[in-house]
Amino acid sequence: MEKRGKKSKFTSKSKKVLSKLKKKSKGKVGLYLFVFLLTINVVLAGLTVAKSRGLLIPGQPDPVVIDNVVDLDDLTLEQKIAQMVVVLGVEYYSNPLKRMQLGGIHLHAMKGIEQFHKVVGKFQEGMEIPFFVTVDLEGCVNPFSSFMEFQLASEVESIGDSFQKGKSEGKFLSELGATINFAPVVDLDDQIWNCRSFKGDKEKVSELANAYVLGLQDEGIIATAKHYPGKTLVIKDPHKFLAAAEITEDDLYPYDFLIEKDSIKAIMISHLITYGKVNSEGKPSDASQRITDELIAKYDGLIVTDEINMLGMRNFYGSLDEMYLEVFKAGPDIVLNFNSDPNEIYRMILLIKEAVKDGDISEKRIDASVKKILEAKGFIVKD
Amino acid sequence: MVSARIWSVINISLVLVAFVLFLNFLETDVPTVGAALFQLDDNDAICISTYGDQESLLNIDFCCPELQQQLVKGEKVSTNFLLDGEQFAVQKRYFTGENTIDYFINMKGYRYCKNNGFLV
Repeated sequence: MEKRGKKSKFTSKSKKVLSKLKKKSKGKVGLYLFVFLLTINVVLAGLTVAKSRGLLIPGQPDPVVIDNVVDLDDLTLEQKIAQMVVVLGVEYYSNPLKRMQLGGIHLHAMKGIEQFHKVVGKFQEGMEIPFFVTVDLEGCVNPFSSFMEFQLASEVESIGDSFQKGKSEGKFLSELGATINFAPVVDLDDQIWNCRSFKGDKEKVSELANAYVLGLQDEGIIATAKHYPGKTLVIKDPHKFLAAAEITEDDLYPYDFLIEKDSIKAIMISHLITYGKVNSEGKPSDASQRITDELIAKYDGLIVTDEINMLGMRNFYGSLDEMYLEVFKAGPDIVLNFNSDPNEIYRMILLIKEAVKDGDISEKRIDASVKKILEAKGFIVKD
Repeated sequence: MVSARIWSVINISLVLVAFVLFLNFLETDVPTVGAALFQLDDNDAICISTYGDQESLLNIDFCCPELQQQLVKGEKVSTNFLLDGEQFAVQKRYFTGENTIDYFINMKGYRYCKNNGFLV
């Protein structure tokens, strides 16, 4: 009996010890698992923050620039495609945008002139090939309007006035460090705002635009006639993603006039679907190879797309990838993509790189655009 | 000493957090409150631009990128516009200066732009 009692005492004691040990080991496993999961969480959180700030985007090799000469063969395909892209100049993302060596930044509205200087300086610092710094300064569209006002295009009446408008805006932009102004608007009518385009018949609009271009470019700023092939500010159907319009000889007159005068250094193509004298074949004009080819045949300046991140454009295509490919295939020199996420911009560059490698987009065409871009930036280009 | 049960609760929570972080890292679209509110709001997305006495109804798809370029974004307003015989109520105003184009949108328009990644 005594023995049995001792035995059962021993068993219950050992059971207690065992369960204590079990609990302890469960606690230990829990602790180890906690440390493991915490580490995973810290790593994932770090990666997410790094990605959201664009820190995972790899840098490109420094371009070789000797005596202001750039050899296209020294640039990687990624660098060349990046040169064709202009993005929104968000200061927060300056590092990844600089690492990608993009073609340009577009300035949005800021509080004061000091902030503009700071942002432009931050982006341009240390860049072997500087960014184009682009703006939309038209008068009633004016990112500087919180501290600086300019005459409206619709108020300009004489060629002299228009030249002076170009000169004064050019001087201001030049001092700011800007290089391209997406103006003048040469649409023959502005029925939406009634302030963005010059007033008058096609001849007057063309002459006023030419004078403005000469004034602006006299101060070293590249002028951009927009929105080719016209009618962009006439169509105002708020229910359609992308509107369509018939283009007439009159709509094209200002462009032909500026091209003939050899004054305009850039032309922006709109998203409008067009038929008539210029036919985009059911696509947005800036994604139409036919339109770009026809323009290239008569014009050797820079061809710029409108902002492709506009939702009308995005919604027209089944996916962003399809839109990017169509736009680049069309053959513009500069693509405006104001998507605020640098990762998306980099993804677009990689997608186009693959399309070039697969032979869907010609590298020669990319080279021709990059040559134009680098020459517009003041470089001598060896190809 | 932390009990095994508490460890389990903590660790399961960490697994869930890791899962969300992983989805976020892969940029997987997860339903958000904003997207839900957008779906529940049966108004049309409205964008109206004004310049001087000119008032125009704009395509919201065109409007979103313009909004993100303005200096003052999303100032609260409560205004009605009468355009082509129809009343439009708007709740947010976007502008840069006195003499430039102003943009007004309703909450549906605001959520539409925000859900599509614009900095509005």
